[in-house]
Amino acid sequence: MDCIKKNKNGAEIVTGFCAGTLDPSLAQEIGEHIAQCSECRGEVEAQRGVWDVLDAWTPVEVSGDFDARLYARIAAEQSGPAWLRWLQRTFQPATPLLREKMLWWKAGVSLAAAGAALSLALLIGHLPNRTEVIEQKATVAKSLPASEDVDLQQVQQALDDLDILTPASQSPSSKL
Amino acid sequence: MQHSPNSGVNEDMEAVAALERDAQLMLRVREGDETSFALLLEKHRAPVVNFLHRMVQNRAVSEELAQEVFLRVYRSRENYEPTAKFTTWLFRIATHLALNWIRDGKKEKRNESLNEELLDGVERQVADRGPNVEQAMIYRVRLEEVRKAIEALPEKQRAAVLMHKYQGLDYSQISGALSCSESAVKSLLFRAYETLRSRLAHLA
Repeated sequence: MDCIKKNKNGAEIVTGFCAGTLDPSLAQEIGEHIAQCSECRGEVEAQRGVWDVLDAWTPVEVSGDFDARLYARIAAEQSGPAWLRWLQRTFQPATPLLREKMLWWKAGVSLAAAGAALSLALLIGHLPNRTEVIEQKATVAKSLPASEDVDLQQVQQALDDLDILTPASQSPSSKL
Repeated sequence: MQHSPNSGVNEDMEAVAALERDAQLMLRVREGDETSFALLLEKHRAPVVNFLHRMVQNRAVSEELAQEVFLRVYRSRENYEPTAKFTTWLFRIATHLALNWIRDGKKEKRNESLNEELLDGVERQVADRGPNVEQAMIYRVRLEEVRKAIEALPEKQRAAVLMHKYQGLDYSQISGALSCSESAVKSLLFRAYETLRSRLAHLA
């Protein structure tokens, strides 16, 4: 047998040998080979070392009430309305095949939702929002003379002119 | 050659007989047999919880996710078709849920309890084996390093190694669970074991 390292499936063979999943005849061949080849033996020992170290992580115990909690959830679902059960089946399909079949319409729904969101965003973008209106008002106000800057002399002059033009009995100054 | 009317039925019966036992049980669940579901739960409860525990490294979360796995199995019983091995399908659901949980970043929120929980587990395991204090310390360090080394692996490599090493799934089952080709699984496992070899060499 050729060296495992030279074999294109060498890594797979070493992993399978250490996991004990190789065909018995192949496993025997490997065993005989590594007894003679130090390089391949080193490779197998390194993998076996990791394999054994990983055994340190022993399984945890499952809670005693695991089944009871599960059956309670199942019962709660069964007592729910039919439309809810339909929704759960439709949107959480566990069957891989079914999930793959659903991908096309899921993609369609996502696309439609994205389109609707974009349209809404564009629509909102064309409407002046409150901030823009306030800014526009401020700009207009800046372009107009401020009401506090009234020239008193000019007002007095206007009143005098009015006084001259109107008859004495109706003049504003005669009423003051 | 002319087929008898019963030949189709016979072929179906042969196909059903050839199905693995778990798939047969699941088909009975589809017909409303609750006992078959209980049998499936009994057989796969611990492997699923342990796989999820090693994936998310939190006991409470792993049980929560395992409940969701079996709930989804039960929900989909009416649509069940034995297109793949039952274990492949089961671990595909479990992997999907675990990866989603990790990607959602929920891991950080619950990580506080991890060390405490891990140490509790170690104490229990140590107590079961009854070694002295020094051995207990060595065991604790060893377990912590293994846990960290596995946690540091990329998600898919981690899932592949856990299914291969601890659940004994073969390449085709892992490829079904991870939705990738068998050659991709071999590559994932090769890289993962290489990384673990370099990180855990001092413990071997």
